[in-house]
Amino acid sequence: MPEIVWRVYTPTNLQYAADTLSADEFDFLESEINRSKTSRSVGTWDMWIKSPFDFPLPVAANYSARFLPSGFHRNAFYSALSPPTSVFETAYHHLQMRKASRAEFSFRWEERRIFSVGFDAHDAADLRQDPEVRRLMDGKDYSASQHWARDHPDVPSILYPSARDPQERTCVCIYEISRLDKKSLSHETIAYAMQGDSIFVRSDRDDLPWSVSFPEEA
Amino acid sequence: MEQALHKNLSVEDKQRALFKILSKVCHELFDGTQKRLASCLHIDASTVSRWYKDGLCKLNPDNRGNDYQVIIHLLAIYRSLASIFANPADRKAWFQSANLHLRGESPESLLESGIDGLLLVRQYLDFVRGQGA
Repeated sequence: MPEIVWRVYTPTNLQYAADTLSADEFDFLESEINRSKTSRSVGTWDMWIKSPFDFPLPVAANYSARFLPSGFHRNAFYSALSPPTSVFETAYHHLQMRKASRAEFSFRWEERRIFSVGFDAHDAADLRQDPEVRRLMDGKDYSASQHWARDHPDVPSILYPSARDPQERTCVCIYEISRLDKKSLSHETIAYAMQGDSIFVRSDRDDLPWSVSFPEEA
Repeated sequence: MEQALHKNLSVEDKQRALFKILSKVCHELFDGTQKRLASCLHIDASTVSRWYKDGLCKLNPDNRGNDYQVIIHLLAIYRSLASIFANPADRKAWFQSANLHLRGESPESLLESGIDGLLLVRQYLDFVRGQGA
């Protein structure tokens, strides 16, 4: 069955050298940086669709995630069936990245993009009614979900409830890029700003939360 | 394959471009201290001092030797920071502060520790930027 999934990502700030380099100098620098990446070049999908599949494999211990155990042989495209769920999930990671640093940060809007893309869910593993679902969606302990991933090494995608969205709407972990359309359907700019344990959200959409808090994660 | 826009740049043009962006990074992340920049690049401070005098980063871009690769990794780190943090002061604060996701060390000290530390910081920022749902 065809579905639409949503994903938020951090776009490359192409203005980072605008005050310093000419256009041809900037083009040279970008080409050198891109050349130095370990890219697996997974095909002709839009860059923001295929980039999660470009990370080096096997998955390094530092970069394990809910359904990506250390040493796993696959990458994953994390997404959600609704835009608000995608925002709740990425706002959580936005906050965790900043809280891991001892630095004091200013209140500043940081640009993000949200896009949608068609997804073929016909052979997805649906864990939303699984008796073990509470353990699989634990907010901090990923051992059960990583164990599940190891036990199901060939599943193309997984539907599961979000641990960050208060309404527990559906997250989608996609291992097989072939289940995603090659072109995105929509692409919008949003922005996050951190203050304490909260992330404020700026957007033209009326279905997104304007602020997200994770006080228990502080 | 070389892209059209920069294919006519000479070696010296490329060295000048690298120096310009490297000096911006030095100003933003290292408080303008050439010695700290040299320490993170694992290049002799007198060499970096010469680059500042000449306005050129005198490495051959066509050979892409080890020193050259280290510079490109540092510039990739800076590009990621510029994408993640809109405020340059936040980039510097993150770069110079201890970090629980990075063994409790600051990114700057990881860069100083060697090429493994440099790659760790670059990969971490790539990972953070790609984290999604």
